[in-house]
Formats: sequence, structure tokens, C-alpha cells
Amino acid sequence: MEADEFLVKEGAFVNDYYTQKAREIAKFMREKLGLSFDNAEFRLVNNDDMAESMATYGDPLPTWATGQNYIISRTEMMDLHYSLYEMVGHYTYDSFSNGRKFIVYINKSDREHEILGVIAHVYGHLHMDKNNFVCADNLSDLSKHSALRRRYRKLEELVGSKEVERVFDLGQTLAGLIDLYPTSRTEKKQEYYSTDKDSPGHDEYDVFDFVLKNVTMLPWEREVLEMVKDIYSTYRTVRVKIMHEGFASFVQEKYAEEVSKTDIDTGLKMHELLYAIANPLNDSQMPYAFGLRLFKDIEKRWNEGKHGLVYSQLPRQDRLEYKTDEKRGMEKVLDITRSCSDWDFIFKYCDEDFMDKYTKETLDMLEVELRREAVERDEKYEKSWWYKWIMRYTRERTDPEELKLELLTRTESYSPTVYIPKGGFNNQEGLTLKQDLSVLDRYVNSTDPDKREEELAEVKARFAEQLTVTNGFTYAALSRVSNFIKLPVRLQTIDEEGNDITIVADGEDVYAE
Amino acid sequence: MTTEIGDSLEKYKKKMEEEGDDLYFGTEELYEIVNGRVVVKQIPYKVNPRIVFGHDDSGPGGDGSGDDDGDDDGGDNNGPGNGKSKPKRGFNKADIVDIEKNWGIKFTKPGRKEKINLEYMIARQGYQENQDATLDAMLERQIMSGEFKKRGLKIDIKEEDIRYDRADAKITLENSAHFIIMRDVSGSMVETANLSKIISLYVAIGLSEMYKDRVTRVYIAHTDYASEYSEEEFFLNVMPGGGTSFSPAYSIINSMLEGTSYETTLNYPRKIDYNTDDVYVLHITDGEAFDRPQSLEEISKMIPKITRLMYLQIGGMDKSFGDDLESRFGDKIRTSYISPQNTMSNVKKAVTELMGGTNSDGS
Repeated sequence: MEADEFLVKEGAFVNDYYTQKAREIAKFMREKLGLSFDNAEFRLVNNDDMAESMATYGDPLPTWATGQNYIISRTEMMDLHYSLYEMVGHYTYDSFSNGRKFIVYINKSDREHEILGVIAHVYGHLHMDKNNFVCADNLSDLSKHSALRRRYRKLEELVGSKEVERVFDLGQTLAGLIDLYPTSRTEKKQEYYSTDKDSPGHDEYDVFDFVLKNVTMLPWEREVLEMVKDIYSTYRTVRVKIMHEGFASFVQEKYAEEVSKTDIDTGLKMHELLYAIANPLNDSQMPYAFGLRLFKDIEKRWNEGKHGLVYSQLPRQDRLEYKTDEKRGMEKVLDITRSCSDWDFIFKYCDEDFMDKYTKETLDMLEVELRREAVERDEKYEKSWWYKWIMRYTRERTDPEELKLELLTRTESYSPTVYIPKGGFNNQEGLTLKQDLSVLDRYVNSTDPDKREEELAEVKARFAEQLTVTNGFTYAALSRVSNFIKLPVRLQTIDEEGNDITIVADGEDVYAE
Repeated sequence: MTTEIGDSLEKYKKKMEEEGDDLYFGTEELYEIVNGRVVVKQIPYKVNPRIVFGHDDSGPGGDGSGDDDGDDDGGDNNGPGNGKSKPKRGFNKADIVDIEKNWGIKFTKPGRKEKINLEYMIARQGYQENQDATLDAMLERQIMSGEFKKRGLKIDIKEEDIRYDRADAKITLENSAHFIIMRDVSGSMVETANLSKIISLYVAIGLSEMYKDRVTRVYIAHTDYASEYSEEEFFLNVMPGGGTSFSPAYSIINSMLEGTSYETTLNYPRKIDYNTDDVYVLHITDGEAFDRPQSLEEISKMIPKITRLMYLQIGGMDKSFGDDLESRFGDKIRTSYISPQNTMSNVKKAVTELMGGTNSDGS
């Protein structure tokens, strides 16, 4: 290990004890589990600094949104005593390794076993950041952020803070229309010498980019929007949230098991910490809880050979008893971390057996919780979406596919994919947007075009609740874009019953056609 | 906080103020804040609207103005499909002062009295070092910081450990103030009790900002009978009811200023040294009293000794008492008349009018 690798710093000073431990853990992760990751610098910080890092990580520009994020994080940590254990920040250039060095913030008010567990967890994140195909090219440089901040302040001086903020607000609305996943589509784009007069000449998925290129605006407005686009383009990682947190928790548990071999007390404490975080009863912890359990299940299945065509054809009882000594669990897990996004991860690997196990475990935990707190189940959890989710599954035996889709749309919590269809920008109709519902193709089996249409309509009705965007937020966003481009904006989408509708924002009003 | 976050916190507060998302603080919350504690509240959470998954019943057809933020429409402030709970944040005195500054209040002291405060810094300042006490202090510090547990006793005296036998006086030139809150608790004021408490607490926070927390709050409740109460009793226990007359309450203030005895539920009557302290009086009533001549007599005795009399009338048709005060005593009077609805705009109006402007006539 290099002399400068995995330093743990407290202020300007290196903490020798934690540095040594961090290196030991890194060695364990690399040599025993087969992880690979870039260099990192761990900074032990207090709650206030942690809140600030949180705020400037997602919104690096000095805007009101950053102030809001800061004050909320600070309150959560300092007044409500929620604990934020770690945050993997952006990377900087590492002159020693001539590569990247991630800055990781760790809460210094934690106890020793918490800090060590958290360092192990962070290596899981770093592995994902380096290897996962969604994350790998999608990280941002800290020094770029400080340059953006400087320029933003300069623009504020030149044209006034209020004006810049107005454009920033618009940028945040347009940020939902960035093409975050260009690699997922391979359609042929317009020919270079095409005489086609349509604008755009092909389905345009990056609506933000299209607006930047085609809408008249002042140079400084364009500059602010470009900054916002640059920042939000890194939000692709929302599509690996379950895997990111799940895998980090998975390796954290591996480290806790390793510690338990020699120090059972500390090992147990580390397990307790992990399962307090990966708690399926908490809405916001769903990615940790679900991801960790699914990775563990995959590891077990591939260790015991419970996969493949032969296995899937067995009757259910036989499947439970089936076991071979394959021992390819960890290998499979690492393979998944490289090649999957959450969508592949959930749709490919979350089978009915796992869903049964997961819901049973959650319900058991719920019973314990309710006995302890002596409250009625529905009273406490009726607003929680996971509770509704699990109840629907256990009582009504809902189609797991529906639940998977709901889980993904909820945890992704970014905007749905929306594109401008070919010729969707003209003076008569303004800007036409269309929601990409190609995700539903996986449920349509027929090859006959007529039957396909029928089946698609059926599928739309089935998944309408998960995929519809008919809400106040969407209407306000369309209205804002329409006001900026000074043309009507139409969004072709589906309503909550699965019927095709077009929402029109004409600058004055928003209505459905 | 470093420069990275810069002035974004100020920008956020300004945006909240401009977009009219006033935070409403109840009596108990303000009572906690005025006593230096932090109150955690759910806050209006601004999010720029985007196209997001989810359905709500708001339906299309908003005003389409473009400045319309989606959080007004979505039911859940974080937008549908976001899955976050409503955010909270803590508020302390400084935050309330910020809110008042945004209302346009300038915190300038009208009084010009200066008082020498003598603070005896027994532990940390003085002369003739007491070595035993110093060693004890060093040991205590090592135990508290955990150093002692880690490496045992080590003689390592730092500057903060040094203790002295003889105290030295620290002299500061700061004036302090007495803030007398006088609330009419007669039967007609039952419904506006909360509003009057909230306004008095906002004014109290404003004054403590001016005087750097050197404000002693004094509480008088009156019907046709008046008495001084403790803060807790005044805000939480005093039950309204009965007729109204002002003069007993004003005569209590005169007794305090002169050092004579008066009706109080506290252990000892209070004496206010008006030569060194600024004195503010806030009188909250609906203006319906039957002893105006006597009250004006008491007030004319009191006025030369105090810095400002703030007269707040909540409801009530008759404004003549306030007008009388203004015409007789001029600059030392601030008056405000508000309707009895417990709304933020009423609070804002009253506090701004009572605290607004400066008074050159401090005595």
C-alpha cells in the first residue's frame, strides 16, 4: 500500500490510528473480497461541516437551494439528533497516484466501531463508483465545482442576484429533462446531409440540450443554464441507488463478520449498526434494506447453484431442497456491480422466492416493533408506501412486476424519461414532449401489430398508477418551460387510468386535451 | 461555515420572505425561543417543479404564471413520488431577529443611558494566582476531555486552567433595559390572548437584540385589579375574566420606578433604576376602560422616567385613548391598532409599528 493511500485526517492532521485501520480494511476488501477502488481521503468532520458538505455536494452553486439544504441537514443532525455517518464527496486529482482521490466525510462524533463500519461501507461505494458502468464516467471534479461557484458569483455581480436566481430556478426545472441515460438507446440519428425539414430530425431525448441550442436567450442566461446542466448531468447515479447502498451495506456486513472472528463484541455492535440502517420498516432506508438483502440472496443462490434454466424448471418444493457446491456467490455479486443498473438488478434478480422472504422478514420485524410500541399497525404505518406495498403483496398476491416498477420509480425519484418526438418543435404547436413508456415493452409478448396495440393498452392500464405524471409538479414545470420559450408546451403521457392524454401549457393556462 | 456555502443561507431566507411563506410561531414556541432554546419546526420547503412520477387531484389548470412553484399544488411539499418527509429546521432567537429585520425593523436604541456593569470574573481573571485551585482546574479539564483516562495524570497547565485569589472587575459600558409587558386580561380579551402573547414575545426578542440580551422582562396582568406575575404564570397560567381599568396597572409601574411596595405574586417587589436602565412599557388592551382620567394621571407621572410606551389596541372601536396618549406625550408613544384575528399579517403590522423608527428623545 502506498504511503499516501487512505489517509484519515482530522483538520490538518493525520489520525494515525484510523489511517492504519482504514488501510487494513482496504486490504481486506481488495484481497479477500476482490473489490477495486481509487484512493480516498477520509475527513473526520463535525456535524456543521457535514451539513455543509451535504448541501454543496448536490447543489454546488451558492444559491438559495444550497442554503435550504444546509439548514435542513444541520437541523436534522444538531437539533433532531439524526446521525449522518458518511458522505462520499466528489474526487480531486491525486498527484501521488496520478489518478483520482475521493474526499470522504465521516462524522467524528461517532464511536470507534461505527467509524470502522462506515469506512468499510465507504469502500463499497468507491468500488461501485469505479466499476459500475452507470457511475464510472459520471463523477464530478471538486475543482470544477469551485470554478463554477466563482463564475456564478461573478454573474451575480454583473446582472444581479435576483436575475441569476430566476434563470437558476428555470435550470432546475429543465434539469428533469436531461438525457441521463444516452447509452440505453441506439437509434440512428439524422443523416448529416439530410434535407428533412423537421425539427428535431430525430427523437431528441436531451430536451435541456435542445432548449439550449434552439431557444433565443441572453449569453449569461445560457451560461447559467449550462452550469446547471453540467451539475445535474451527474445525477445518472440515481439509477443505481439501490445497488450502491445495497452493495456498500453488503461489504460492510462482510467486514463485520471478519471482525467477529477475533472480537465478537465489536463485530456484534457493527452488525447492530448495519441492521439499524438497513431497516426495511423505514421508507427512506428502503435502498439499503432491499439492496443488502437482495445481494445476500444472490450470493447464497450462486453459492448453492440455485440459478439457471434447470433450476427454474423445478417444482417449488424441489427448488427449496436443491443445492450444489458451486461457490460462485461473490464472483456473481461483483459481476452485477459492474454490469447492472437498478432496473436490471431488480428485474433480473428479484424473484418470487426472494419477494416472499423479504416480505416475511419485514412483517416479522413489524410484529416485534408493534408489540414494543403497542400501537395499531395501520395507524402507525398507513402513510408509508412500503407498508401498502407489502400488504398488497401478502394479502392480494399482487403481481411482483408491479411492485418492482413501483419500487424503482419511487427510489429513483428523478424525472421520468421524456423526449421530443421527430418534428416536435414548430411554430404551430410549439414544443411537443412525449413520455418514454418503452419500459412497458417488456410486458408485451405478441408480435402481431394489432394485438400488440391491444396488449400495450392493457399494460398501460395496469401500470398507470406507477407511471403517470399527472400532478401539480408536472403542470407547474410545463408552465414554467412554456413561459421561458414563449411557445406552448405539450406533454403526451397517460393519466392515472392508463388513457393517453396530452397536457398543454400555453403560457397562461395548463389543461388536458 | 466556509466560503463554499457563502451567502446561500441569506438568499434562502430572503426567498422565503419574498414568496410570502411566513412561518407561524405559536406562543409556546416563542416562549421557548425567548428563553434561549431552539424550537424545531416543519418549514415550507421550496422545490423547483419538474416532471415527476405520481398522481394527485390538483388537476391541470393552474394560473400558469411561470412563477408558480409546484409545492403549492402537490399536497406533499416535496412533490409526488419523491418519498421524502417534510423537512424541519431549528429556530433560535437570531432567526426571529432575522425575520423581524426582513419586516423592515431597524434595531436602534432610542435610549441614551449608559450604565457601568461590573462583572466579577472570579475564576479566570484577577491577580495572585491560587496554585491549588489551578491544579484542580487542570485536573478537571483533563477528566472532562478524556485525557486523564487515556494517559493518566500529567502536569500540563494551560492558560485556561489558571485561577486567582483576588478577583478583578471587568468593566463594560452597555446599557440594559427593563421591558414591562402589561396585558389586559379582562373578559373581552379572552379570544385575543394568544395574539397578544405572541406580539409581546416578538417585541421582547427585538429588544433583547438591541440590548444584547441585557433585558429584564417584567409581567403585569390587569383587569380592574392588577398584579405582577412570573413569566411562566403570565404566559401559561393567568386566566382571563373581569372588568377593565388601566390605572392600577400603571400605578404598579410607578411603584416599581419609585421603589415603593405594590401587588405582586413574586417573593419581593421590584425596584427599577430608571436613571441607569432604559424602560419600555408595552400595554396590550382593547381600549375599553372606565378610568381614563386616573390612568392618564398615572401615565403622566410615569412618562418622564421611561424610554417608550407602546400602546397596542387589539379590536375595540374606540381609538381615543391611544390618540390622547400620542397628543399628550408625543415622541415617547408608539401606538398600533389591529383587528383581533390571529394572523401573521396582524402580528407583523403590530410589531413593525411598535418597534419601527427611532426615538431621539431618550432621557
